[in-house]
Amino acid sequence: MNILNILSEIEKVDGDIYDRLSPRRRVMKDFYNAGRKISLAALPLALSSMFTKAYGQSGNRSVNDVLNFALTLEYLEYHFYNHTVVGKDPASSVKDVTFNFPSTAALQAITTIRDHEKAHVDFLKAVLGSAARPELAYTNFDFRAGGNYNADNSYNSGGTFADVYTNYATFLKVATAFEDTGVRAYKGQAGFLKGNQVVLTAALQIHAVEARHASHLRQMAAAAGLTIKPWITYTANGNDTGVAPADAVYAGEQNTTQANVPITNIAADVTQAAAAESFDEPLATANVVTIANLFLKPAFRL
Amino acid sequence: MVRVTYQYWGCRFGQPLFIFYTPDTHSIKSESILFIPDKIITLLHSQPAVHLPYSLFLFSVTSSPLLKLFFKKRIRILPHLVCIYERAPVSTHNQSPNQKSSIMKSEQAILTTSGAGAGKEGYNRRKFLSALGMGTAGAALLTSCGHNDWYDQFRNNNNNTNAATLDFKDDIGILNYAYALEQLEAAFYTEVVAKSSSVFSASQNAFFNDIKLHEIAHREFFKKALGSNAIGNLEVDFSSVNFTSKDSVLATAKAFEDLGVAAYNGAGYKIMTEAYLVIAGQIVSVEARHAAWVRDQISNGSFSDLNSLSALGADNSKGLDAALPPSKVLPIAATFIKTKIDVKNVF
Repeated sequence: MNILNILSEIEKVDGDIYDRLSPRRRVMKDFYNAGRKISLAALPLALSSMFTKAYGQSGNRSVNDVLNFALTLEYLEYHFYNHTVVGKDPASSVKDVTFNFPSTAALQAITTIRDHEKAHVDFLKAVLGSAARPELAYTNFDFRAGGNYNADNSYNSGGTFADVYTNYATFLKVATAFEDTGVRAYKGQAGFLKGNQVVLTAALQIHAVEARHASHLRQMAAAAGLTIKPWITYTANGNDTGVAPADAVYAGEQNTTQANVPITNIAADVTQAAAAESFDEPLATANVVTIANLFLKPAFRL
Repeated sequence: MVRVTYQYWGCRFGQPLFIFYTPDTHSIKSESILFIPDKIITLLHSQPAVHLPYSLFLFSVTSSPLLKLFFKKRIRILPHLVCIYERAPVSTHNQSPNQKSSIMKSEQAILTTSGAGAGKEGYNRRKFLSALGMGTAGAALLTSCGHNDWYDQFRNNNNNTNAATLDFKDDIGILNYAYALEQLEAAFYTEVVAKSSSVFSASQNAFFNDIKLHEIAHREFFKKALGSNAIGNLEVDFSSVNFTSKDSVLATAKAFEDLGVAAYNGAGYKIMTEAYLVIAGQIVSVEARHAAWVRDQISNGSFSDLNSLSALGADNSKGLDAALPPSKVLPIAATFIKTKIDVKNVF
């Protein structure tokens, strides 16, 4: 275990770490000072203690658990979009994305989103370092949700979203569901990162990017004929996309009471729809896992 | 001897505006609660015909222990002060919803108006007390308080119109910070919806109206959640915005939404109550949805152009959105706010 390498790795990922950690900068100094005094055998414990101080923990989920959970979702999103942009699995010669983007702007938007998801994967991997979960490849996913695949991982048949790569509208529906899931998932993890300047702030920053993606994908879906707004409006079961298999993604979005304050009619014209739209809802870990597992092949499920 | 005192308590419609404190024989009667649009007036006197377009509480502390308890934390008695509206309150009774809404807005504006012209259409103390059924006896007693400059003193003592303090020492400060920003956004989109519809398409107008309502919902949520800890209404200044220019409106909307995202992201780690942290998350993603939509109206595809957000703390190479501490957000926001904001323990 080369502790100095770990520290320098963190610095590579987050060059501002010492400044950003200013309230806790002392922790780092303490570490170096302590290092002179304590024995080598005690170092791992000291290190662990330092990170607990610097990166904190709350609830019953460690920061690494949260980050690895996020990393899984980012792999999912990245591979989904990348496959669409590239048109096929990079390891395969078979082009299985057969729909055409209606415009270069649409392709460019998906490329932009893909690039962000890749940046998120790389960022989270770098932050986690050796604690990062095993890498997930495109072939570990089942974006048809329940599809049958051949021995060489090529798609055979079936799945809830069997036409996800042959029907642009289906692709947009799944993409929208992924982004809205991402927004809810990060929100659901925020509590575990409470007070953590570095990790919580980064998580919130990723969260907002996912929300921007969701907004744009919803606009693309609207342009493709869906009745859908950039924000999630009220429906009885929370799912405003009209895509029934995505019900689990939106369950709870119909909520219109926040911190015991009823939002509907809180002021003139604030209808039930406006009340539901004005607050996105978090999603608990277990619910996100259920959704993510629909798109992971059995051996790779969470 | 009867002393009449009051507490000014926020001037947005729907919240108690003036609390009168009369430690004598007045008592609260359920039949004296008047319902006016969406709101309740609790008027402690036998003149139920008074329709004031704001919530008003007049009660006897001594005779109502329950209400006393309810307002315990909110009442800070300011002795010898009497506030009079700047003109006779407009009745909202028997008005259409649109008219009611318009009256409420204008009443709110009057109450936040300051400076020259204030009191021009003067509603004098006697009339006011008379309207409350206190008549000359009350007026005489008030006069006996001996403050000729009651109006100025009211203004001076009234934090709600003169200054707001944001103390970032705890969650209350952070939530008030969010409340201030939501006030700004809500006021902006209210103007957009009222003044800019001719320069936008029907679908754009519909979404601007949605956004306006979201921001109002956020603002009112914070106001309710903060209760007596809420800062007052901020007076805004949009003189730099041309509301009949599509470009000007969109550029300002973009600036507000991106700044809102940066503000929530940059302050989140200071929120110590998990429930509030989650609420902040619930709001910031909606702001980000707005930001993306507004940006796409300016240039389709710019919804998450993180390179353009680097000044607000975004990092495209890591896929990170904007994040700024309040020390950097407030100076930007302040260019749109007239009310003086005192800041403590800012980070």
